[in-house]
Amino acid sequence: MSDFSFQLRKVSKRFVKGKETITIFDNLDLDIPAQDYVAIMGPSGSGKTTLLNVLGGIDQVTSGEVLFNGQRVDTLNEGQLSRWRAANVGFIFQFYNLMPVLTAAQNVELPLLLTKLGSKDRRRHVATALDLVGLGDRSKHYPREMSGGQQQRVAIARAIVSDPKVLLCDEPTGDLDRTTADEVLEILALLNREHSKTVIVVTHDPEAANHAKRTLHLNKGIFVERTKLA
Amino acid sequence: MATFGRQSIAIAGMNIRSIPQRLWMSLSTVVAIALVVAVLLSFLAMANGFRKAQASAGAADIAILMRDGASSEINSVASRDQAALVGEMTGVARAGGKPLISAELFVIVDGTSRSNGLRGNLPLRGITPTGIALRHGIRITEGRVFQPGTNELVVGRAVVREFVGFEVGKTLRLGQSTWTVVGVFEDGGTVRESELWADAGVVQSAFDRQNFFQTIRVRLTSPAALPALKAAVAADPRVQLLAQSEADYFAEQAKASGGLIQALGWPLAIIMAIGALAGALNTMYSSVATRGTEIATLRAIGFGGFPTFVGTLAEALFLSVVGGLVGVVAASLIFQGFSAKTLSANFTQVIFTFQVTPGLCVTALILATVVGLIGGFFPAIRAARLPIVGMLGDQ
Amino acid sequence: MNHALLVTKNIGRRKLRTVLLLIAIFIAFLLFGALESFLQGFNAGQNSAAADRLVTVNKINFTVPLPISYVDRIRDLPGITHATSQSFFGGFYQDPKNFLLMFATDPQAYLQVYPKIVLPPEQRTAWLNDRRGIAVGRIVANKNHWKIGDHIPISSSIFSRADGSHSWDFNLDAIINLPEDSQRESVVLMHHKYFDETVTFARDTTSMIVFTTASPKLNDSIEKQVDAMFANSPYETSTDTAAAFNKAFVAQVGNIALIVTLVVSTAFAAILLIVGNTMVMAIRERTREIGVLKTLGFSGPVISAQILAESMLLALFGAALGLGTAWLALAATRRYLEALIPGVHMTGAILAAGLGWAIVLGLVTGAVPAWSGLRLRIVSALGRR
Repeated sequence: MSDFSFQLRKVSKRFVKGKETITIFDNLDLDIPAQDYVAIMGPSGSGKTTLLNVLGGIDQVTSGEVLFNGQRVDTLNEGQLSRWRAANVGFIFQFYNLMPVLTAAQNVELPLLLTKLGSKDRRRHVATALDLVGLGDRSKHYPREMSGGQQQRVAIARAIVSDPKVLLCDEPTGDLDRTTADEVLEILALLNREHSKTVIVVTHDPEAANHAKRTLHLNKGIFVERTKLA
Repeated sequence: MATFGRQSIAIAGMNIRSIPQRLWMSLSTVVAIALVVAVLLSFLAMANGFRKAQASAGAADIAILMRDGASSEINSVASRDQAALVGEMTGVARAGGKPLISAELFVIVDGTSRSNGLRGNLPLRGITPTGIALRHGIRITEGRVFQPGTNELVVGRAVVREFVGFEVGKTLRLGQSTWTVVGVFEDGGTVRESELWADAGVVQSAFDRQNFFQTIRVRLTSPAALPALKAAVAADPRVQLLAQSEADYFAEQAKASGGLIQALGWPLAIIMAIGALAGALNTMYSSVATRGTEIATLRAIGFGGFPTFVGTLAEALFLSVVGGLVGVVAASLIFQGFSAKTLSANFTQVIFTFQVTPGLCVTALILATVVGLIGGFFPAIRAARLPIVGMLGDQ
Repeated sequence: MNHALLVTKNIGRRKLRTVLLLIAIFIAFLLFGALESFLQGFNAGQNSAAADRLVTVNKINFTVPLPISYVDRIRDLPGITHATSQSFFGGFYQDPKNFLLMFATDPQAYLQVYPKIVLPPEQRTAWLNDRRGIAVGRIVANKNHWKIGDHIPISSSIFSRADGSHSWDFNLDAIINLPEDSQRESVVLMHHKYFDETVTFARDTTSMIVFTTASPKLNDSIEKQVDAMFANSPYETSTDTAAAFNKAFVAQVGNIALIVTLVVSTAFAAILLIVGNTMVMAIRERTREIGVLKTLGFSGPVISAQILAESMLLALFGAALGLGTAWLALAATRRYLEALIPGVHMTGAILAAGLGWAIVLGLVTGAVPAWSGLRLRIVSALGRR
């Protein structure tokens, strides 16, 4: 057993657009230990989001290996990837991506539909997750009835409800004002600190990077690492 | 006000040009409306064809006399004596001193339908050369008329088309006698083309009906002579018959079935139109939804709500009229001249062809337009009332 | 919450759109249910005819009479169990348009040929012994508000009486109840003896002879035997099964089956396009959400199943509404419809076929969006804003 959440080995990502082949990154190596809190920064088009997608198993690498807890992920097929994602990673997006037709509680419950939990257990997990993000009293509200910050906290609750080891966040504060953004970052830090989640955040927000244990700067497919001074 | 028109045209033009962006959705509306229109038009063409086959068969200067209470020829009985009395009555035209009168038999014989191989009832009319002359517009297209006193048949064009074995030269057995087809006649597509004709005397003996007929036809000196003949018939207790003009007789026959077909066609078309309307509303609402930002932009730069309404309505009308035209063209191509047959009040097969007319096409197009108007109206109201701010501000 | 809730929530997402789709589906299945029921009524005669019942008519046409003596000659053939004459009377009540499916027959023999007709003993005795008696089908009795014991004047459009009048007086002795055979519930039956006594012509003749055989297996050979027996006589015959005879007669009214098929398939084609396209559009609108669901770990097949469930639910619900309404409408107007076309009603088979088509509709309209849901790549789904 490796105590690494993720290990990238000589990972390349290229795609063909018209006659051109565009390389996003080439021969990239990266180790993310368990319970790490990493911020990935970099200019637009630097490949941050693609990297996050590769880690989350929703995008394929062109070559190289992606390992999770020492196991290859890049070789899994679609169905296996679905199950792997459901069990191991939670996603948080810039625009929350809640289902507009479902209440907060139902949104949070979604990932649990993929588990064998009974409805009573599911409800308990949902309540716990919503309490954790401080929205225990908003469970019956629909996304349109909530502020952006509240919606993002519901999204976080959805990401952690099935107790995955890793949280992958794509610009989680990108659509929020400073105060609300800080609340969201506090929750992520808490999840890392108290609940041992590995948190990987792709962001433009220096404040978001400040919350992380370390920051990786991705530029033209190459990392420049700056570890935060404790 | 002039600017309203210009604005409306501008918006309508933009909407219609943007239809390809919603191609499949728009196409489904067009096809749905086309199908409804085609169904309506086919029923109307069927009813019209049936009515024409009957109605155009009757002449105003021919009187037909039947047993009091008989509503069709098959149920009537008339004797040779009655015919002789009628021939002497006022109002009956004469030629060379002899009355233009035709006492006719009407019996039913079996034919085999080409379309399903089943037996169908065909009218065999016992008639005389005078009787044939009483019918306007009869034309022998092949062969000749039967020789009086022989087992020869001359058959209507439609019978040859729809039934097996009635070509010139073919023979058929009816009871113990064998008959030969010697000619084919045409009568402008009327119900008469569904008949078989033979010499009256021969039919009488073959069917054991000596001295009996079904109906008596006479040529009137003029259509105006009918009341006089009616009065004369009523005044003679030996003649228990009722006279009416042939035109009225066939008009009555046409009403029975033609009305039924039409009575079926309209409700069907209207029910289907409601379904198509649901589709049209759907398409137009989604058109308004996808153009939300565009509409708000136009409103923001000063376009009015009413032109927005008109523009959306125009798009719906455009789709429905295109659908209507497609339906009319398709139905015309498929059904114009389509041959069909049904059972008449005489208990025999009436063969007729579907008749699509410009008038019916217009009727069908009006239905399409109504679907378009209603299908566009409510979405157009929504378009005109779209809030400008929200649509521009979002995302 | 469960997957089903997710499906219904998605259906309820755009209420107006869903309602419009349901209306379109409802209409198509309303037409299907109603028209197929009508068709079933038209074909009732050939469907309800017993397999061992045959009909003999004059070879020229069934309106040309046969000698009544043929009944006995046919009955005497081996393999034939019962035979009866049946003469068209051309009867009508009050108005020539209110015509009756009326026959003169031998009541005793008729009841033998149609053994399923069970009359209450007192009605049976009354009818058999009353020369002026008639037995009347339930549908006709209802339509004309007749009841047992009524004296009913009936006219004939074919025959007149020797005394010159056109009207006969009958006593209603028996009412025929036989729900499985709507034709039998639509007839009026008079005594052939009374017919023979009163008409001015066509005495000792019959329009048709109906008889039963010991086994349907004998039908083919008996048909040939009967027709051979009368070949080259002045009255040659044509014998067929009752089902085939009815079928040929109904076919003369027109190709009702073709009309029904055309109208129904037109309606189905229209909703297939409308519903299919709307489903594609609805799923396209949800591309991003589907991407999110996939990110959460919902697999392609699960997403597809949800989409198919959605289209299936729409189709089944709309179909149930349409078929149900057709059923109610037919039941409500039954009295009126029966008099027009006996046997109009929605059978279990029609209902089952309707639901079958609903499933096909659901599958077909859901197929394309389900396929694109299955194939949807998360990255492009999330990228599409």
